[in-house]
Amino acid sequence: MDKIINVLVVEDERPLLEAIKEKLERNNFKVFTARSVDEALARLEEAGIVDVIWLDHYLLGKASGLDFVGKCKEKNSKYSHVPIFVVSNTASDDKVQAYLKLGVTKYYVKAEKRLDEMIVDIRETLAKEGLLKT
Amino acid sequence: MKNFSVKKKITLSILFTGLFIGSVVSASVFLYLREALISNQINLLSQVVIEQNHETEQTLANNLLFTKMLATRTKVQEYLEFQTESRRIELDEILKEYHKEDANFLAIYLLDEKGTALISTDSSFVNKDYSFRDYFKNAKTGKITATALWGVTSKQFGYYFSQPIYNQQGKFIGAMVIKTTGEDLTKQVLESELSKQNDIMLVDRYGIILSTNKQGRFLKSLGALTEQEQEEIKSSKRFGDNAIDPLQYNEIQEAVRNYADYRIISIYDQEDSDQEYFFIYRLAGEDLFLVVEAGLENLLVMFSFTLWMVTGLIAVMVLLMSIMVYWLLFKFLKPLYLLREAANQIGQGDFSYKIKTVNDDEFGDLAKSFNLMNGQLKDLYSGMDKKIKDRTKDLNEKNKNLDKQQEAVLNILEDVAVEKKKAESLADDLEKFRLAVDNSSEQIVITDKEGLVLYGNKAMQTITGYSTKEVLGTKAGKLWRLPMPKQYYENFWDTIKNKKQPFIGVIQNKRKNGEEYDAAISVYPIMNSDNEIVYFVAIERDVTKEKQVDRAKTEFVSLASHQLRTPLSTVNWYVEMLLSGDAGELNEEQKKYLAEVYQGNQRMVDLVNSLLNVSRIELGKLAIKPEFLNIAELAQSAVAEQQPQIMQKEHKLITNFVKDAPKLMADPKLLRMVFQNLLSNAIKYTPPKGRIEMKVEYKTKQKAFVITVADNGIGIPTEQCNRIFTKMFRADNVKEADTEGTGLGLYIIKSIIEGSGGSITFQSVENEGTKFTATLPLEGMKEVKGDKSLI
Repeated sequence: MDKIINVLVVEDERPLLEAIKEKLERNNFKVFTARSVDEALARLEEAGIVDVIWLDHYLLGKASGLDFVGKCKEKNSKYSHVPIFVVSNTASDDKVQAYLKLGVTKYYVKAEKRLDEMIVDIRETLAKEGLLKT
Repeated sequence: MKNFSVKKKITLSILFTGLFIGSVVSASVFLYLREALISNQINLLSQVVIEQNHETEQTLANNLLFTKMLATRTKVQEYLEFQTESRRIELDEILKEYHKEDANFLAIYLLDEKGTALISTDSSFVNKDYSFRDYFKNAKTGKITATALWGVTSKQFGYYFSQPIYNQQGKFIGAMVIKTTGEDLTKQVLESELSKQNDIMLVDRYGIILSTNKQGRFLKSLGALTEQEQEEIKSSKRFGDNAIDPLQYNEIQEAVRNYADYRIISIYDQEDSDQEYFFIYRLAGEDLFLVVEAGLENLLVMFSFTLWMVTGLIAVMVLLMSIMVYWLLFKFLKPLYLLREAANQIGQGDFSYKIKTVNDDEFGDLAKSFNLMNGQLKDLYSGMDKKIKDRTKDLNEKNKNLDKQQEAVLNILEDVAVEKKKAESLADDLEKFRLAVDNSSEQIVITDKEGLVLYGNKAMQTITGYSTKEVLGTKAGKLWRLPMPKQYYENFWDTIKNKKQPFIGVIQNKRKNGEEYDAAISVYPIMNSDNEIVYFVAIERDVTKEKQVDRAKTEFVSLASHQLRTPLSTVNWYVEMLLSGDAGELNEEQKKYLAEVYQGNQRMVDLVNSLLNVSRIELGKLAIKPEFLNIAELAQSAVAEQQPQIMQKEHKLITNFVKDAPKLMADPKLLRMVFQNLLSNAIKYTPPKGRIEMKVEYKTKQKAFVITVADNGIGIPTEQCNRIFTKMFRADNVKEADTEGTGLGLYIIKSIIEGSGGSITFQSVENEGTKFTATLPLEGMKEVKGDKSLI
């Protein structure tokens, strides 16, 4: 059995959020969910330790995934080390580049990836890069 | 008149002047003479009239004196006092004696103090009462009377003279009256010289004509009588039963009525239609007036006759004088005619002509001088003839030279005209260009080779807000350009100054009012014939709005791609979970159906992706990020990617990728898309166990790569070949084959290849196969900074 990984899923679309949560939990993830940037930041505080963040670009409210990443990767941020996987349908090159520049780990185009594919890939990436603290 | 000879002119002048002066003199004489004659005639008449009056007065006085003589006889007094028969007979005898003495006497009679006739030479008067008569009434008051009356008894008109008779005590006791025919009185007047040309009338104080030489006027009044006068005349039986008709001379009547002593009145006589003069003279102490009516017609007839005589004489004189002048002039001017004749002759070349001198006067001298001059002229002329011939020759030569010069000048002028026309048309062209540039909606700035502004058009002022004055001489754009990276400027100057090529880009500007805007800028170096830069022309356009629109479009694409794909993802993932058994084990049929749903959903994802790519291509916002790459490697990786599909359909794939070719400048993502698309089409549209050949060659000569993908598949129907690169087009046979496809792939790769300066063609025979050939130049794709890359 794989190690339990704490994951924060930030996704505005409810059915997608549920599908992701369901799939992640089935794959031994402990899932926290948020639908906006503010909610996401609050969840981070509540959760204490989050191993990885699953992030969409467009979110509820005005702030987007980019803003959230920006905040997480701030110099004094407690979460700057937390790996972020962007899973979004807004896959224009400039946005992908913007995310990568801010230091996200990977960028998946939502509609082109299967959930299990991504989950496997995330686990492997975390293991390979030694990004899991525990 | 202009053509008349001097002779005629002078004669006519004298004639007309004479006639004019004559007319004026005649008129003056007429007016003066008329007045003088009239006044003279009046004076003359006056004198005659006065003289005549004196005679008349004398006659009257004589008659009165005779009456007085009778009245003062003692016998008469005694008889009236005592009225004895003897005395009566005695007196009757005496009176009859007197009566016989004078034929003028009609009657002599004696009235008593009551006016009754006591004794009369005319027995019919005796015992008749004449107290109503003026002569009695006057006598009673002591007045001597001479009057003319119509006899009531005798029925005969006569002049009556009366004298009062007094007794020793001075008491009125009667009156002596003599009635005369008045012929003695009137004859001398009416038969005088005066009467020959004038009407003479003796009138009483009522204006009634008592005697006249004018027939039909006897016992008529000069003018209208008043009612009172008529009554008086009637009651006094002065004129018996005779009716007194009035004449038209009321003015004269009025003068008489007012006892005018002497008066001359001029009136217009309507009866005779001429001006008439009336001389009115009151006979001394009597109620009788002499009226002379002087018609001047005779005088005027004579006068006008005289006038015509004078005028005629003047005219004749003038005429005679003119004729004389004409003759004299003819005489005087004769030498001049001779001179004229001579001049004519000489004018016609006859220098031998001589004037025969007639007189020794001034004309004679002139003729002599003329003859002398003629001789000299003759000498001169003979010498001149030769000179003229020589000079004419010279002149002809000079004329020829002049003609030549003129021709030359004309040629030059023609050239000048052509040049002028050219210059004008050039100026016209220039003007057109100037207008076009001035009024262009795009900002146009011309600078010298150092970039200092020489010209800015109107649009520059409206776009930047700076006036031409502010801009001229400054470094172009210094006023409105926002700072750009150093690299930008290096590239800019390098392009236009060193490479001498146009620079095209987008920059940030700031208007004078501080507002920032984006401008599309094109700067062109302008070279002279030696290829040296002389000017730069910068054309700028405010593209702020265009950019805003583009941004909005881009934003739309971005949102659409997200919004369209989100539900697709939902379907994708839930189907995936179902297939994974996350919701319990599925039977085979359920799995099969869900697999179809999943496939369909995948196609939908492809379609959305392709549509977004198309929209990006069409927005011109496709970003191209070229890098040097090995085309063979890229082709190989594309093949590797699709290996599973090839294997599945058991196709035979033959690849031939160039080795040692130069690296190609291209965007790997886009180029990969070209390979993927061509290969996947070949796989899809070739029935299983087909043959696919894929080649990448390098043509050294053309410095270009040629990519070929050929298959032996279903091919493209001939009639649909021309639509194969059209968006959303899928050939009929392809649809029948029930293969997946969006109809966008070929459209996208054609756009990519053509956007890279290449081309793509194909050959196809239905059911035999298709061959796509794409050519990509070695220089490859140019970088395009777009907002979007393809998905």
